[in-house]
Amino acid sequence: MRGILDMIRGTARLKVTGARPERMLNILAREGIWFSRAESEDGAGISFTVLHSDLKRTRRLAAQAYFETELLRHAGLPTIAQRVKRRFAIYLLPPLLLLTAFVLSLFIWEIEITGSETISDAQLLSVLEENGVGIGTMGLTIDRELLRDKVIDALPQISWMTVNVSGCKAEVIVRERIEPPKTIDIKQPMDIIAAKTGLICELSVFEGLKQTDKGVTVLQGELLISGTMPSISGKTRYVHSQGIVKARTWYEISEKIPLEYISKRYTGETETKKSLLIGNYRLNLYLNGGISLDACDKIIYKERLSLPGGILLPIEIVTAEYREYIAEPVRMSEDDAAAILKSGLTRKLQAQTKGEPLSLEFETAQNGEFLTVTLRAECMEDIGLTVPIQQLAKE
Amino acid sequence: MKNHYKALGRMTQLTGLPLEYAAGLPKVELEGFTTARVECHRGVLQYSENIVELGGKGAKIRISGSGLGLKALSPALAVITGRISGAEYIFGEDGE
Repeated sequence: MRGILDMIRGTARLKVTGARPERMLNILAREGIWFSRAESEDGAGISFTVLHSDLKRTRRLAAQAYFETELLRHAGLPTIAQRVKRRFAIYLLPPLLLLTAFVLSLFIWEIEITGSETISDAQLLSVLEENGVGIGTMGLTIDRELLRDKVIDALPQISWMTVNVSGCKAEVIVRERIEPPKTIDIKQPMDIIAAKTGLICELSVFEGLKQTDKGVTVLQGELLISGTMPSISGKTRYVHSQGIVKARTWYEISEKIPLEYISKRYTGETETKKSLLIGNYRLNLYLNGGISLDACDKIIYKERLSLPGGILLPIEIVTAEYREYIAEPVRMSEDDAAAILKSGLTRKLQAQTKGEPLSLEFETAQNGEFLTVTLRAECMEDIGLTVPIQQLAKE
Repeated sequence: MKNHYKALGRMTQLTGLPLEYAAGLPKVELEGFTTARVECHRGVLQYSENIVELGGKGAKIRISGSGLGLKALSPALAVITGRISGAEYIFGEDGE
């Protein structure tokens, strides 16, 4: 605490020489001048520290007692203030910094997009850039309504958007268009055919003429429910066939994987290169752009600078870290390889079928350096596929 | 003058009152091995790392040790810090 006070008030260290220099300490005590760190200078004198405000008085008292004084050093804020007294640039610096911060805060240095699900941020940023809104754009010049119309024109998936500018950050809020569900035009004449080969287990016809029956095996493309209906009047009637055709289907899918693969082993050798990203301008903080590492991964870390209070600056410190690795062959265990393939085959089956599998069976076989896994599955699913009536299509 | 101090000492012993202190004689207090407080001194006579000598009524006070320094000095009180090895009164030639 004492040190902090001394720093604020400022101190001066003096050396006093003369006959019986100890007398100077008595003078200081008598005059009520605070001093500290009194040290004897091998009988030649005495040095001590006094407050900056007492310096002149101390010197005067020393002169009156026929002592010679030598100022050893100054410290503290008054000394610093005296040093910078005539450096006018320092007075200009704070207002200049404030002005710079104010001017910079008028521009957009960060764009945050919320609400977009199907449209990528890059796509939206590109459209915004085309319409004059990007990093470095003056926030006050954005005409939100005009921008909204232009963006909606360019990206029809968007139904509404707005840009909220707060400081140097622009928040782009997007609402995407919700597509109406597909409707079935029941007036359009349609057949139902088999999408897959299978054994029919359930057949319910709501509209149309049944062409097959339960227990019958049908081939892919075979007509199941016809939209061509005979009429009592002799005139053929065309309807939009509707129905459910559930059938047992069988799948056999194979996948193979090499047991030996190339893996990266990191050597621990790293190199880092730093650069500053000011707006869109990059300033490299290194001279040599080359890397001494043979094979390496590059990882980029970005750190945005900000002022106290969370005000973001348009400056980013970009650190590129290069990690050296050696590519070497690694052998995978058969169990691990089989687990990878089984998981992949299950996902593939789920993508191909509409229903749940009734049974699943895996067969594993090793063929040289490869492991093959075959999935055999039996499923129950709706195989009906609604298509336009072929006869009418030909006409 | 020496007889005068002897008489004062005797009276102090008899009455139990701090008459020597009241008469302005120096008072030395040692706090542990690192601090010495001297009241009623008459200024610094000698000052070095190993010896600090203070004037006093009737005798000089010598504090000896190593790394000695003056922590505070006022007309009434002197606080000496450092590794203190001894404190003694010196009744010298100029002793009253």
